[in-house]
Amino acid sequence: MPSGFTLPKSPPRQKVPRMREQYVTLSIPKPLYERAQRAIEGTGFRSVTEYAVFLLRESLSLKPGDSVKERLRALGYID
Amino acid sequence: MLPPHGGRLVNRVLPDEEKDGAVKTSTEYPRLEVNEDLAKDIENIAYGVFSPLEGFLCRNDFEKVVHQKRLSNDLPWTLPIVLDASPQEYRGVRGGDTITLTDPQGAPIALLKVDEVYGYDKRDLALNVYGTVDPAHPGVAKTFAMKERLLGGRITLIQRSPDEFQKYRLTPMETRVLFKEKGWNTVVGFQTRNIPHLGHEYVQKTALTFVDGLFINPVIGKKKVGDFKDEVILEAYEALIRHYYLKDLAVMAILRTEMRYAGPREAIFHAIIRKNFGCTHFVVGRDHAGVGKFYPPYAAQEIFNEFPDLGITPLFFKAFFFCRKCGTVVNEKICPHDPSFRTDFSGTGLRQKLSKGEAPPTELIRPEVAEVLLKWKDPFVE
Repeated sequence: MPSGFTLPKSPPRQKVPRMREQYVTLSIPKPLYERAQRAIEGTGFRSVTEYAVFLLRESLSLKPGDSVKERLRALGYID
Repeated sequence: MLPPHGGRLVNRVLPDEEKDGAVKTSTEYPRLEVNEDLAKDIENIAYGVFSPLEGFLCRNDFEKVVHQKRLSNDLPWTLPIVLDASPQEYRGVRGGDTITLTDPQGAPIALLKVDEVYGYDKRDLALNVYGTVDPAHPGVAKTFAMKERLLGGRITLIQRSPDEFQKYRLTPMETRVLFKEKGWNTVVGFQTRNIPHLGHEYVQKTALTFVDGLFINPVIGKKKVGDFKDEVILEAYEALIRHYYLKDLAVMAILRTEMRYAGPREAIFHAIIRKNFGCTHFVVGRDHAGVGKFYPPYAAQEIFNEFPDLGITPLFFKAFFFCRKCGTVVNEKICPHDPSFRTDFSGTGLRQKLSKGEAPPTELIRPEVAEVLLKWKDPFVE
């Protein structure tokens, strides 16, 4: 290294959250997990986790009671 | 909308994904067959119709209900919901055991986690609940035919029974969502076991004047010979609602439970059920849930004085009739005319007319309803 040249100081290492701090673990019954494993065979879902995340995002976009409303609509109670 | 009785809508229904496993597991437990009435009670408990009950009463609650018309937590509750068993059926069953409740074909309906097996006094039960031990009272007769012991504990529903009236089977969760969707803050519940005549219509519409919506809730189940068939009642009400009610103000769904004919106590029980469905008001007429002349005509209204904490508001109606002088349906309170001007809504007279293929008078039955009744070859239970 040429004399007089000083390497710039590295910026302070930013604290990057570790992967595991960005996720939480959910427990589901084993029969349900096995059922989900069978359900995603041949689909684009690579894991039950991926499938569960998809379903959860989809259901959260619906308001509570929407499935009940669908039944009421199908039976003619509401338009 | 009022919260359910006890503050929370009970849900003792097994999630779909656990049903297959539960059906398999249920074969490992002792089995107890239940009849159709008990099967309905199990479903009503599971879906919250009988909130706050989560199962069949244990001794402490049973005794309180029978003698004080309240649960052990002091919540109003007037009819004991119990599961009886014979010595052969409860042999070896202890508190903490699980048993499988099945239908007569052996299919599992629910699991019962037994808390206790206990004895009871049938005479005491009949006298307190029905006010009589006369075996001519159907509830008394049923009590004395009950088995020796009662099993108390929580139930978990595995499979709902199939039913041809699926369209009219709404759970309390569904009716609550329905009432909210319709924008109803106040809802009056109307109980019936019969086809609608103008007297019923008069009561319903008078009640509807003061609330946002009307919930017509026919009781479906065991019938006596000469009663109208359930399907006839439902079709008749559909015709009435279609032609004579504003679409957004009246709905109908069924209540599947047996009639106990316990008069005043049953009026409170019925009011609690409609509170669980989301009603804020409940119509109580003359001799509600009565049979023969066992109860004074307005005892089922007076009993509400004992329950200022019931939550749901009763709407009391006196006996109604058609007055030819008034020219409309009226009741004892608002008609000043001589009884000679009255035409009573007689079930016997109606049956006679229909049996001859004749339409009843239009001051008693709407023509569209009569058309439905006359369409049926056999509208009556035989």
